[in-house]
Amino acid sequence: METKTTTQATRTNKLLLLTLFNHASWSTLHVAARYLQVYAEPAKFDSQTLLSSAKGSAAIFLYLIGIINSWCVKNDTINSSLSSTNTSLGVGATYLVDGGHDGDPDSSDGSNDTDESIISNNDNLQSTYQQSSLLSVTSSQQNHDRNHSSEAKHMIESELRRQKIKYTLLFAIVSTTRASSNIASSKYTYPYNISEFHIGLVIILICLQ
Amino acid sequence: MSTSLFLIISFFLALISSLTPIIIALLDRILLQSPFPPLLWPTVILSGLGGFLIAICQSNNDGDSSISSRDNLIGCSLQLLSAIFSAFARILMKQTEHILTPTHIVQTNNIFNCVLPLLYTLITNPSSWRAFRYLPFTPKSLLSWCTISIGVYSFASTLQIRLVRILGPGFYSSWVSVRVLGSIILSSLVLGEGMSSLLEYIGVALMIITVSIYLVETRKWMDNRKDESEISAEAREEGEELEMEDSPVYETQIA
Repeated sequence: METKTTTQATRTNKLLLLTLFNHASWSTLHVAARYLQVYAEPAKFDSQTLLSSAKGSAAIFLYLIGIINSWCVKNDTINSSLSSTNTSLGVGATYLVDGGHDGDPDSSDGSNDTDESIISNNDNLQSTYQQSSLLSVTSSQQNHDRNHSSEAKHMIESELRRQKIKYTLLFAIVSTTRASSNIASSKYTYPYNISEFHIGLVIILICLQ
Repeated sequence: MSTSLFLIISFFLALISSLTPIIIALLDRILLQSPFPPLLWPTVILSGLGGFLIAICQSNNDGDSSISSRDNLIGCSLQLLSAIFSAFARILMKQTEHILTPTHIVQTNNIFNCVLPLLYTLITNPSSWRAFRYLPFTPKSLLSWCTISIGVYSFASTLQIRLVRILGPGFYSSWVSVRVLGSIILSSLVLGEGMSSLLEYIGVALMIITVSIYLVETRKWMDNRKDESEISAEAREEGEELEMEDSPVYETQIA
């Protein structure tokens, strides 16, 4: 009980510290932007330019991180599949290959005998797993249930995809309106060459969103 | 425009900026039925007051009395729009907990906020992009650039979404005065732009005291909430077990 309370307290402290750290890290944005605007190029550096370029490089950075991450995950999956296959082949019993993904009902022929062939073709590992699992299925009722569950799964997936698109668009509208109105407000309130053309463009931008 | 009118506009601008956590807390309560932590309202109001005092002093220093009242009105309206949309963004972060990943949201924001200002600046002020030619590649400017694009727009944004989802939008946003405090401390350390007036010192002191008391109180509240949720979860589990034992299916299984 005491250990549980200590764990809870640690988690609370961790969350609060993370919150403070996160807000503090957001404050560096203002200081860094101020540095670039004042010390780097005071006459030409526009906040829209800064926002656009910084967000663009952040998007590229996160995309690269995503690629590296997925590559690492893929490698880990292959390694774990390989180790579990080696174990099952060594015992000589049923194949227990699980690549960490849901297998498709399609199957291909042939199982692998050597480690080298397993390394060269991960798809064969998947098909071996599917073959063994298909052999174990005998009842037609089970097939029927599987079809039903795959239909339900498909419906859930399509609904999730629809929701994803909807919320992505909503986020795009909300975040861009927030950012553009924030920048525009600083231009209107602080010294800036305001013209009717600028006002028109801001209104068009907001309407387009 | 007279200086007094400029001060009134600065007052409204600071007031609108400090309204953001209040709008978020209210929307959080109405749309998501989240509970309010203790001292939320006093904290938000007092830290907003502190931020307002600091903003008034800084606006007074940077101010230009040549701006027309119409421009200021547009500026204040746009600031209010920004505050409302900021609140909606936080609510959406919580609502899409099981639909979108934090990285997905951050990438959406980054891409859209990159493309639209890019088009806007290319049409209205293409010469602004020439600023990069004059940007000196000193360690400080590179560090500033990496802080904005990698530190804030990549990592801090992702962590923000995770924290909003764990703590709730209202509770997370109630700590927003930490940003003002952090900016002031970092500005004096990095840029050498320290505080100059008594009002700024009062504002900072007010914020520090409020945030410290709030930190102690919310810590207790969070611990109590966890205890309560665990007790209710245990009670629910016990109730389910009793229901199972009473059900005829369970009796058949046992038999």
